[in-house]
Amino acid sequence: MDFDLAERELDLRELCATFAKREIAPVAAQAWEDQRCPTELLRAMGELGLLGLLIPERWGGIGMSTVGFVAAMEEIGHADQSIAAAWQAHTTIGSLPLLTFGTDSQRERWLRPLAEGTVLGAFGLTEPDAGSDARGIATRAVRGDGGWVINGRKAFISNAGTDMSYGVTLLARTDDGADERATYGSFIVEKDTEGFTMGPKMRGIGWKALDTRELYFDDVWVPDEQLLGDPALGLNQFLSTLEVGRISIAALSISLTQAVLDLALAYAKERRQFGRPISEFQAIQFKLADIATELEASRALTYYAAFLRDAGRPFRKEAAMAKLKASRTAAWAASEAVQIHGGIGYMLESPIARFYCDSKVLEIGEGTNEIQHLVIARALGC
Amino acid sequence: MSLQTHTIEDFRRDVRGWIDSNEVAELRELEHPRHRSLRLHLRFGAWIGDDDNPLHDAWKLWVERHQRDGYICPWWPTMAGGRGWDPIQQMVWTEELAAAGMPRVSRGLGEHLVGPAVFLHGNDEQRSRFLPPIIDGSDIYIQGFSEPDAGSDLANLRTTGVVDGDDLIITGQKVWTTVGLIGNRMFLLCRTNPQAPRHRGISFVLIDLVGDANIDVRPTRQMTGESEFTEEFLTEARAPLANVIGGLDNGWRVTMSTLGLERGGDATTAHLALAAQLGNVIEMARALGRSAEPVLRQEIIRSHIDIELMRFGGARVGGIIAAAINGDVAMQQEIERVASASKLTGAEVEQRIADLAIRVRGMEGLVRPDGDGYRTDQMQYELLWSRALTIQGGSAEIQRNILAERALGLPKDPAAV
Repeated sequence: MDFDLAERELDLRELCATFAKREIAPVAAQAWEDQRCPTELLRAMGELGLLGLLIPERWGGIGMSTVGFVAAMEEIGHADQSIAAAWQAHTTIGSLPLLTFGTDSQRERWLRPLAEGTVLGAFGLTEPDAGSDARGIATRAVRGDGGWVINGRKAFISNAGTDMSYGVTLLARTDDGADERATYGSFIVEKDTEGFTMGPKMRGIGWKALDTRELYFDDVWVPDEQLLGDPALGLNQFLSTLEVGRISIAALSISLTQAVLDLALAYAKERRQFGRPISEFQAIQFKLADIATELEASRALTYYAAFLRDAGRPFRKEAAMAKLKASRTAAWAASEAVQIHGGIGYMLESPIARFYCDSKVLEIGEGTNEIQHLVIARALGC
Repeated sequence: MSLQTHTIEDFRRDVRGWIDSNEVAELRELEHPRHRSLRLHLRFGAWIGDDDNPLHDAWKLWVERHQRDGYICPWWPTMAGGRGWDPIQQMVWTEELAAAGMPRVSRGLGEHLVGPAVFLHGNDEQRSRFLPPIIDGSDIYIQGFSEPDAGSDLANLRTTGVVDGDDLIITGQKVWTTVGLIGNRMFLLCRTNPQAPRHRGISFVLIDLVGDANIDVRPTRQMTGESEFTEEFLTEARAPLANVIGGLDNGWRVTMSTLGLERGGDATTAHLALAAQLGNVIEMARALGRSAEPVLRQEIIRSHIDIELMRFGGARVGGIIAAAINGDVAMQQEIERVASASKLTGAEVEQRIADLAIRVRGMEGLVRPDGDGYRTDQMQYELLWSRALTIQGGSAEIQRNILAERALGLPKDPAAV
């Protein structure tokens, strides 16, 4: 077994570490406070090729491995979770459906700018009344006039409303059969399309610099060439994309756990109570040791799921396990790290408070942890 | 428990009757989430905000009726101006107020910490000078304990108190002061004898914050986005020596016994708020069609059992407090032992329920409501606020040390000796 990154992956990781330290870290807290998506940073990442990380060179990307993506995420997410969240949504669910299910002309027109980093990608699945149950979506696309007419509403959609957004790829019902027989298709809707509007940027507990909105589709007409893949198989297409998304959220989670461990460790060494650094107290040492151990377990699962994808082997169960373990660890570790900081950790201005607020969504977004349990149980044969 | 069931039921009927005839119906509106900040301040003993608020007059009337009939600080001994209620009676009072949808009139830290310190450790002159203004609401206290280098290690405090004639001149910095902006007085700890061992040279002092007090109060912002906490910079602030409670250099003993009372006092009624919080989670699970999910039900039931155990534990703590307030020294020490367990359990259960609520609710629970400022809804607020519960008022680690050393007789933490 080889646990080392390849040279190309190591180079990428170093590049991301430098970018995160020089460009993201100095502005992250302010962007979070201002609740503004810093697209200037995402554009700069695009210039470095980071927005086309998982896309082959042929379509404008750099064709990096999934393992390399996880390594890159460890650095980006360590500096800031909101920017990392925007980046991962673009890189996985925002871009991969076009690569996997698009025609060459669709790839040329929409995927290339995404991969080259001039625009930002978004995917619209969740609706106000359909989150975990993707089959329950109400947005509908009806065939007509050489294209499709879309009506509906999407909720909690990331990256669709920035000055860098091109539009959204969304999932809609294409045939209204009974639930088991309903069919779904994916459609590309560009931002200036008539009838496509959006609500204001939502204000979250965490991920405050991420642009998340409700999207409204009111008799939006798109031509046939904006149908992505099979009009009946959109749901399966999307669900397969989500599997990569789970590795991505797992990677985001381990980056958060590493960040809170680093902050808590540094604070514990510096903070003196009872005449010595609190890192000398067993209660604090064991907390730190537990965080470090759970982090390594989460990291191993996440890289393993990424390795399976790169090897072309099934990875659904492992991606779900990685997301479940890593997100749970991140939320728990962030809470423990605040506890180690004491009162200062509860102040909104402290970096640890920012990571704590960012940690909650990891257990809920990209498939709740209840859904991960179901996926794993099914894979076990239940 | 000393009271027989029929006596408790008589008491319940009496207080229910009083509430029925004196309730001010408009105050039920206080339960609305938009009044959260107001409720917080009322809990600390102050109306804060707009006097044009239609609830202001209703609140004044409710307080006046309490004052007229002696229902403020009712658990204080009669010699201190209270009704001498034991904790079971307090619990019944709180239950009946909750059932009627009426808010409790609290005098905040003045009621729960300063009053007990004064009536247990003060002299007659101090009792007559400091207790009536707490009851009538003219004195609102904030707490000056923690410092930048004295959090869990409270005895490491650096604020100095130097005797100058009949005064104490106090210099130092205090942090994490809850609702610091609403108080007109502070009770603080300062080091009056630097030569004495750590715990021996500390004094418990009451000081004016208004006027030319040489005290600069600055707000800080916590995770909830609100500024419930402040830090205070004292530069040669003066307090009369007559404001030192329990004698010069004796503040540690005063503090430990009153902190125990505070932690224990919460224990008698904490389950009521948690039961309401869990009720909200259940209601939401029903609304989302999730209440039949077995794993979710297990988590709900676990919290329900915790709350029931707290109810029983609270009653026991209540009995100990009753004895302590009536001067039983052994029970005053016992409080420190049992109160830590109560505080710790309550804090951890509340954190778990707040986290459960957010997980049940899903993505929507993470989006803050529209409006000015840093808005959060009730469940978001509970999630963020509850994170502080294992830090403030003695961290979870400190409570466990107290339990290990004082309740179980284990040796001191070798690193903290």
